[in-house]
Amino acid sequence: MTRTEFLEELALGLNEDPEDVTPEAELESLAGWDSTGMLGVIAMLDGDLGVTIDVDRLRSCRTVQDLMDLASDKLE
Amino acid sequence: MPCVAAATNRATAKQCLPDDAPLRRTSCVNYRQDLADTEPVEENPAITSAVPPRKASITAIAYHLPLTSLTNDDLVREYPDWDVEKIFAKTGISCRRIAAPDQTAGDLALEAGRELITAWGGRRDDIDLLILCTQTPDYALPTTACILQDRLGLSTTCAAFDLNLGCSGFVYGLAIVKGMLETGQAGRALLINAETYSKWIDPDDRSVRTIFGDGAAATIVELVECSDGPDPIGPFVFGTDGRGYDKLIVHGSGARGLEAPGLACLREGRRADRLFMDGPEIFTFTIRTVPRTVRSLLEKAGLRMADVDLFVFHQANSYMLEHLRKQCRIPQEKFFLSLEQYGNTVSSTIPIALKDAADKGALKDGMRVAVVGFGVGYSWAAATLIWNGQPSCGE
Repeated sequence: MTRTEFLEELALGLNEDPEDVTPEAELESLAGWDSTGMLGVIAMLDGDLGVTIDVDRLRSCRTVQDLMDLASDKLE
Repeated sequence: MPCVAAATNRATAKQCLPDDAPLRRTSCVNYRQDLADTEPVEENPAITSAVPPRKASITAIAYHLPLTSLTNDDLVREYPDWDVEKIFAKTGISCRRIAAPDQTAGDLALEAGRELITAWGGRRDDIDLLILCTQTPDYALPTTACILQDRLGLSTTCAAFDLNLGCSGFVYGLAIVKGMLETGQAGRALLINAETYSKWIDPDDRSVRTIFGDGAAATIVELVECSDGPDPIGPFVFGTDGRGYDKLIVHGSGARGLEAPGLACLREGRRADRLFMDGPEIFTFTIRTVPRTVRSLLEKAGLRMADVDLFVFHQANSYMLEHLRKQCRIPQEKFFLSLEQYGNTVSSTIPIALKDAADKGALKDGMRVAVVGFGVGYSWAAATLIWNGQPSCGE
């Protein structure tokens, strides 16, 4: 998965406009980043990228870039 | 994560089982009343060994749901910022059934038990084991199963006890029943799963209110003649990880809640007598655990994925189940879902789904089913079943 695809998938998972889901975007500012949105991210990290999830680390993410960093070694 | 059975040096389950001759003798001597009436087989090993072994098998299931419905439309009417489509997309649930204020798990269990006994057609006096699996008992004490023995009109020689497990409870119940029946400690079991999580749910807590429904399922397990094929129930695999105890919890529901000054105290921003669920943690737990459990079960049973005709997972929510299905590589047509109209009824979801699958023709006599329960505890258990006790000839 490329970084661009990651952002597209994330926008889909969070039910957000792809234009709003940039690496700099604050997760707090995205309405889709609630507990159900988090489930979408978990499904994506586990299913599409094979990342082992640590919910505490996921919760400590502040920006979209932080989420991407969780999967950095799986992204092209 | 592929879910095919890994290559192994372990013997298959069938080979691991001890010789069933002693078991055969025990069950025949003590519990084949129909046979004992006509044939004095006790002292004659030759005759005894000619009788096929008797193994525990599910022979009837019924379920009962409370009358009141809570639909997605109802939820959105109450909370205009919620979205019907989103609730359905994230849960696969359209409707939950909610117990009346004066209706308890014991009441639902009574209805399910009554309906089952009628449908089953057997004599209620023949039931000598009653297990009620619930986490919302009518009282902390006495045991709700004891009250049910009387309300259901079961014999006073019937053993009865509660089993406090959630989503893994049906599979655990089957394991206990199989053990007691096949060792001659009981002859006919009534296993009831009944839950009313709604009693603990905060009306404003979307994470749990959208998911859980109340309900009860009753299952009769009896000994059936079983020639060479696999056991109708089992093998089983189990697992527990108490580190996750506080990810799905009602903090103020037991003695530990008494430490606090009354149940109205706040804990993590919510009342202590309310159900708390950490959805992301639960989801992560299932991702970590369920595919591995399915793999272990197949390995223990000496089966390949293709040998299982139907998978019935605990019906947690369809979003999570779809993810697990893909991770386990289970074909969609072999993966039964039945939660749209009832929601997650905790330990009743698997028997409800089995009944629905049988009624819809998705589950036919002789089919091999894998049942997998997982959740609160954390606790999980899985087993294979041969529906109606006899494997089909085509296999």
